Amino acid sequence: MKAYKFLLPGAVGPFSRVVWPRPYAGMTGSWVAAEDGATVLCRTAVHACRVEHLPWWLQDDLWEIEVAEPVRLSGHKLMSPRGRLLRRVDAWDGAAARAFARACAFRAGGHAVAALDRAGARAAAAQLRSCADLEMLLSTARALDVPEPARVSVTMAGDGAVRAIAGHAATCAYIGAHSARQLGGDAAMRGERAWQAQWLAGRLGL
Amino acid sequence: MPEPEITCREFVEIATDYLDDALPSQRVDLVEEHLVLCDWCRDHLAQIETTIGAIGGLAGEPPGAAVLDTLVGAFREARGGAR
Repeated sequence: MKAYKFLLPGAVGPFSRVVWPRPYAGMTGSWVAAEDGATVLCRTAVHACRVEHLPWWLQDDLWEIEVAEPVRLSGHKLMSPRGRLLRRVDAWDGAAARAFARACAFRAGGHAVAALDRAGARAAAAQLRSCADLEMLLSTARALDVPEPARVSVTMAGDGAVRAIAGHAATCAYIGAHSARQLGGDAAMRGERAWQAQWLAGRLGL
Repeated sequence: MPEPEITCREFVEIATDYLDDALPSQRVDLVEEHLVLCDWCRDHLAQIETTIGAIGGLAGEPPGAAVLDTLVGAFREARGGAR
């Protein structure tokens, strides 16, 4: 089945440090196996993920991968006895990562606005809502006089902006998910992760 | 039901188990999810790996008698006094 895998530059597994054979001259990459019988050995299983789990695994490079059956879902990853790289998803680049980080930070800002509204701090909510860029979101979140019920949400919005400015997409996704949970509980957090996956699928054409 | 995840504090406690492949697979998944998003914990892990690498390169000389006496005394004291 087709799945996705994030790797470090050079097609290196971020945890296994396995160097994946890359597609070449129209041919797919060679198989990488978790057990004997292949030229390249992975640790306990070949790991990949579905589109809906991309936000948990962001790294520099995204690859489309074929994973062999039986494929097992474990948490947010797929586990397979072997896999091979099909193509690099070129649309996932530095610009896409920065745009995703920015989108997640502004989602966290939106959750903070909702928390301020809920706490009756309408003026503060309006100030935060009017922020047009990350620097403004950060400075506003840090400067606002925030009622206690909205304090964590606004802090998260500021933290999200800090991490987005630094280009840490995975951290921004995490902050966005937790800011949703802060406002609406576990269901909202799952919804936020689903939104993030949809954003990535749309931007990357998956 | 909340999404399972680990915190930085939890990671620090199990970092060496992670390096030793001594964690159950679901725990490994959570560690790696955490490492994706947390550069502080990635740095911590890299520091441990560097330390292991540096110590692994040391010659395996046994400690001298004086050092052993000092260590044994210190351990005994820590366990509640000399015996």
